[in-house]
Amino acid sequence: MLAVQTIILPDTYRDSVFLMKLSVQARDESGAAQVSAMMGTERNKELFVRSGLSTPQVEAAKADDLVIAVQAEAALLDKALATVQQLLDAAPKKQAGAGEVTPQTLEQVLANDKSVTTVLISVAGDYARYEAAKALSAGLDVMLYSDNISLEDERALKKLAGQKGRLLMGPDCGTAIIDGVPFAFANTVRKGPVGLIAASGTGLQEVTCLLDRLGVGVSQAYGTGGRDLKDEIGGMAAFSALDRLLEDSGTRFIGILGKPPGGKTRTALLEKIKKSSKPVAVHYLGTSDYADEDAAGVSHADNLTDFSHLLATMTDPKAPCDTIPGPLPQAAEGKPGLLRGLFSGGTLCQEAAELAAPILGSKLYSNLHIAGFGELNASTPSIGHAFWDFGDDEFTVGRPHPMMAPDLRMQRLVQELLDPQVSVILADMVIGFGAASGQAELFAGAVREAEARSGGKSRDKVVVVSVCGTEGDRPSRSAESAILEKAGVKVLGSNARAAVWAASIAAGKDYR
Amino acid sequence: MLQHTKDTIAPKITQLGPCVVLNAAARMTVISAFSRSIYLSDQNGVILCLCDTTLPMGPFSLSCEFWSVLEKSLQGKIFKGATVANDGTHLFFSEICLKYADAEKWQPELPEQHSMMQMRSALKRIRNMSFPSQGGLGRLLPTVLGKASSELPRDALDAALLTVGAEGLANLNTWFDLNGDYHIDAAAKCLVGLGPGLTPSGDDVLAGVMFCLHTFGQLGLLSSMRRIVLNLAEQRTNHISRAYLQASSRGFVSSMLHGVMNAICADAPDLELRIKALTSVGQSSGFDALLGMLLAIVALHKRPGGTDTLRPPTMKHPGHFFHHKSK
Repeated sequence: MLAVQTIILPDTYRDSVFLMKLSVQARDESGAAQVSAMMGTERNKELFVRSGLSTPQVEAAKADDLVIAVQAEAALLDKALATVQQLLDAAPKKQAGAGEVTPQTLEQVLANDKSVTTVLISVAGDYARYEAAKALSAGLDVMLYSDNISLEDERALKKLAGQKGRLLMGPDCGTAIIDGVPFAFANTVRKGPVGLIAASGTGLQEVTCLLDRLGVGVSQAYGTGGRDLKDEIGGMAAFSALDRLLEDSGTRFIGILGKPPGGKTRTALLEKIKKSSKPVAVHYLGTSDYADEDAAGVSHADNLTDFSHLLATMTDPKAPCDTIPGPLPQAAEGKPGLLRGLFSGGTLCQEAAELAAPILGSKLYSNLHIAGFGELNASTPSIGHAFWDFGDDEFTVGRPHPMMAPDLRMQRLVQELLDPQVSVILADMVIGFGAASGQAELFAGAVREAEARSGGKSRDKVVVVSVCGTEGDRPSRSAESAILEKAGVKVLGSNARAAVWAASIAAGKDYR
Repeated sequence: MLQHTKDTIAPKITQLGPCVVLNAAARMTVISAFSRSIYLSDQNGVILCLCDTTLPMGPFSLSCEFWSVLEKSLQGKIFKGATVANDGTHLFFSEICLKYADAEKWQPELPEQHSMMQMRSALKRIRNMSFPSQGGLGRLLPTVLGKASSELPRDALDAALLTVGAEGLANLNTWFDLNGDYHIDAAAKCLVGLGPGLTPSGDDVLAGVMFCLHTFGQLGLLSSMRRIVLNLAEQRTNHISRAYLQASSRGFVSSMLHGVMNAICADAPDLELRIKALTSVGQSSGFDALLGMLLAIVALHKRPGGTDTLRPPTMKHPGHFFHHKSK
């Protein structure tokens, strides 16, 4: 039997984000059926009545009063009310700053700690450029996680960084590992001789994780932001990072990856690589044209998996080359049909789409604006073989990146599994620092939900996932993989391997 | 007293919102304190929002530089009911003083020019966007744009909210079609004070509608809506939200919403980015106001006379039609 009790806070305004979190957290922690917080306006009081949450206290509340209604099994009600009270009591301490104050400006941080060398900036674009300029002027390296910075501002900031002898990683830079410290989305990887420069966040994560599994460590991993290698920017961050890696005593081998650079930048970069005192390999996503690099004797690879192998063999020519794929699933038991790719990483999505395209043979669709692909956008359903990047701006309006909040992607997973034309689902799962924990459970839950809703018919479909992570991550790659496998998901060793395997099933071809 | 010297970083008020009324000698009290803003009210009900410069400007903003220093200085001194004095040039929080005499007045610009073709193109781009799943009425935006909404209510209260909200929006649409007080009265009765948020979600929707009517000089519609909504708001919503509703009827909303309106009128390349930024404000306020604004734009397009009813804005600044009276 459900019972209702209310807490009325007279003349109280609370931040709506806080109230939303309070409702969800109190409900989840206490097992209550419903916890709702709203101002006691006439209209809201009517809502409380309509939804069976009204009490005499609610009826007496005024428009400036905060009303919190808790509905729970009678046995749980006290616990739920106590949880709400606990959350309410805890909040003002933080808001009023009664205890220790967390530094909120760069000036405060620098005043308290002179050892700071790098700052990660994640504020709205309009403010980010000012904060970045301030940090560079203060002699700090900057990882600019924020996006919405114009090309002009990026160029100006990188020029300033050059004048100050600092490194500006970004904008829209999501991954870096500097002196063993992970920044934003990154993984726990072993330390070693390979230094990396990447104009791609998830690409960098995939390579650092695959190297880790090959037993090869990383000295430094610098992000540059996706536009750095365009001619408008001229690779200013990549050149600075390359100088650092050339000077870094812990770095013996260097890998550079990203979308193909602009013509001038590619030539300049190649000249620099030719003069490098350390071996350098490159991987430019989505191209197989390496004529100039071949002529200059620069090693390269066609996908992130092969690039990781290439770097591993540079460090040790005897390095094993067959450990990444892991044991392949016994047989491709699925049947031919449509393939749907649901990705949280843009680079991983593009890599998978481009590897799958020649195998599938027919037209592919994506929201990534890949040349030759049909266009999809967030408001359209999937068409044909479709590859979705859920980290695209359209999906992240007002909500966190899917690596942090996988719910939307999971809803789509259920939807695609219920589509009778679909035979294979392909997805990535990026774990580690910054990523949501428990993604595998959510994924498995979505697969089970589809099974229940389809009366077991969705079991005919093959779900293929590559987990980008390491054994050092919490939860670990193997723990997440085990949960997926238990739900019938095929877990492959890398994004490229998963893409090729999934496309082979969808096309009815033999993977080998 | 905290001094602003060469060697210390002292907080000061650098910008004032267009609806800020600072009555010298009036004693104000803190009515609510958040991490980056403090709401104040005087005995006449005048609202002020002292806030960090990193927050968007709004009608009642007193934008304060070096917020973190202020926050540290005010530790333990800011609580509901704490008094704040005003000597005509400074605000006094206990022994902390904040100069406002040199602050600039922020004045949002109206769109310089627009064509119906640009606005249609902008609306089409908005239709192609996906929107966040948040707690307020903004979730009904797809239906306003003629798209299916797949969102399910979270619980019984949420279901009731969406039902009443949808009824309010339907009444608003009918009002745009038919005019007359009946439907705007019905819409306002549904929406004023409805839903979650410091400013209830329904109030934000109505604010978005009134802001749009003001922007496009729809004086007749704005006048009747303003009368009915503000009258109901006296009894049916809270103090802070009431003040924001009044400001919106004079054409003043958050700087981010002004930015989105300007981007729609110009079909600007950064339209999606501006909407993205707007919809990340608070739990749902920006999104709810956007819903109201777009509902009004779409409805005005459909009115008899077609697109001719939309005239280029004739005023340089908002605040032209209705003059604010302090209560």
